[in-house]
Amino acid sequence: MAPGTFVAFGVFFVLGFTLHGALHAGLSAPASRTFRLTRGSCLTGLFTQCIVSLMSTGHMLLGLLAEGERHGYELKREHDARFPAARPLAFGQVYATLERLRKSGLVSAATSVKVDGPQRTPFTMTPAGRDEFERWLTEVQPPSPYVANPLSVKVTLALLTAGEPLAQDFLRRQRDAHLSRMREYTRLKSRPDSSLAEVLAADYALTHLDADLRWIDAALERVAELNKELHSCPVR
Amino acid sequence: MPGSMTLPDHIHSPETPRETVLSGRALVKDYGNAPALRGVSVELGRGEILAVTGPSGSGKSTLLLCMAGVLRPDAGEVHFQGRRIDTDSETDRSLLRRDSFGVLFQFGQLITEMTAAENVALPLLLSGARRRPAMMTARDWLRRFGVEALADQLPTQMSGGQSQRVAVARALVTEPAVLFADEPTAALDTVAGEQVMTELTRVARETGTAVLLITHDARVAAYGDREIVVRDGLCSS
Repeated sequence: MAPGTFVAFGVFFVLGFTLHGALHAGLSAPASRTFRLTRGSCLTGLFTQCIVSLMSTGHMLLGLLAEGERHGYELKREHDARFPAARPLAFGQVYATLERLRKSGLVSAATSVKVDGPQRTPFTMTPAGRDEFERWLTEVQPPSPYVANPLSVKVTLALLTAGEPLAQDFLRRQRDAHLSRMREYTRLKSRPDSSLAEVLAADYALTHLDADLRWIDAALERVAELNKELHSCPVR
Repeated sequence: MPGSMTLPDHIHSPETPRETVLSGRALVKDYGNAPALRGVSVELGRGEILAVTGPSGSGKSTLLLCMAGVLRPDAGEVHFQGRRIDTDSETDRSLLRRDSFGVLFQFGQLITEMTAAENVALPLLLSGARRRPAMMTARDWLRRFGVEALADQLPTQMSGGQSQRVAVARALVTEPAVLFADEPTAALDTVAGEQVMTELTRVARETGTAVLLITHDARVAAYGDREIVVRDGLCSS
């Protein structure tokens, strides 16, 4: 790869990282933070967030309403039970989203009733809501045209500014951090009481961490070569 | 509620110091054309599962063979439970492997003419156990690995995953101090490999068996407590 092309890729990665900052926020500093996996929150982890983020809360709530009338509290509880891998969903987000769906004509609200104390408003999916949900459900998510790789950006900048030892040291420490996280997911999924949903969510995270780790190994093998390339023809 | 349930402490707790059960110090091994090991040192704690990773040809398997007493290193020392073993005679090292070590390879290497139970009973019989109690113990171990139903079947009647689970039972039936596992899931599909690793590590932890786990696969290495990487005959941890 020509040096200019490499730098262009670097810029592309930086832009990609910025655009996907929310999705990859956890990945950017796994070694520097104490991140304790919990049975639920671990599956809110780094990678499952990507899928959950791509899926709008509105479509998820429409899907839960497909089974029949629910009020916000029931939807929140059902979300937590059905999607252990999902990022925690706040009650406020549920009610705000339901209100948006109602204004868009995708759900309708019945009169509030008193259930176990507080007043609760039951929501029902409208025909338009069902059409929208079915459209979304059958729509293929386009594979991302590129993959943001913040590790690559860091390696390039380490080589340009500090040299090969620092780049290698970073890659080795990053590898340790990735493998450490993989151990946590592996122990989680090996627990006899882990549900299949939890096992599959852990598998999703493990697969992505493993892909990163393979890249790190390849980069470690080729970092000297890359260093020569970067310094042989500086970009103006 | 997601986020509110915490894993037990042992999932996260930092490594507590373990008593060393097996150690290799500055191991060198040269096959003539190129050095396979160039001064590797490694320590295995009691009950520890240590993953040894690295690219093909990096020296991982040579390290395992030296640590298990199969090969004698050209330089360096191997100590088991505080006693140097690399200078022992071949006979003494064979007895040590029989009594204190278990070995598991990529292909289970079950004896095809023997049933699963007979295969698992074999290490006990070689150690002097009588046939009837050895066979009963073998069936117990097959049960621990969820393959009791295969007790009377020949290896040729089993799937790869089933065969490897029987092989793991055979490797652990004597409750060895150390299990040497060289790419134990490389011939299996993902699901079968994960079943083998889950059960292998569960039983090893139950029995306090230390495991030296050679693998090129990070997902297998993640079953370990710790990893060392071997590259070009040198080790980094």
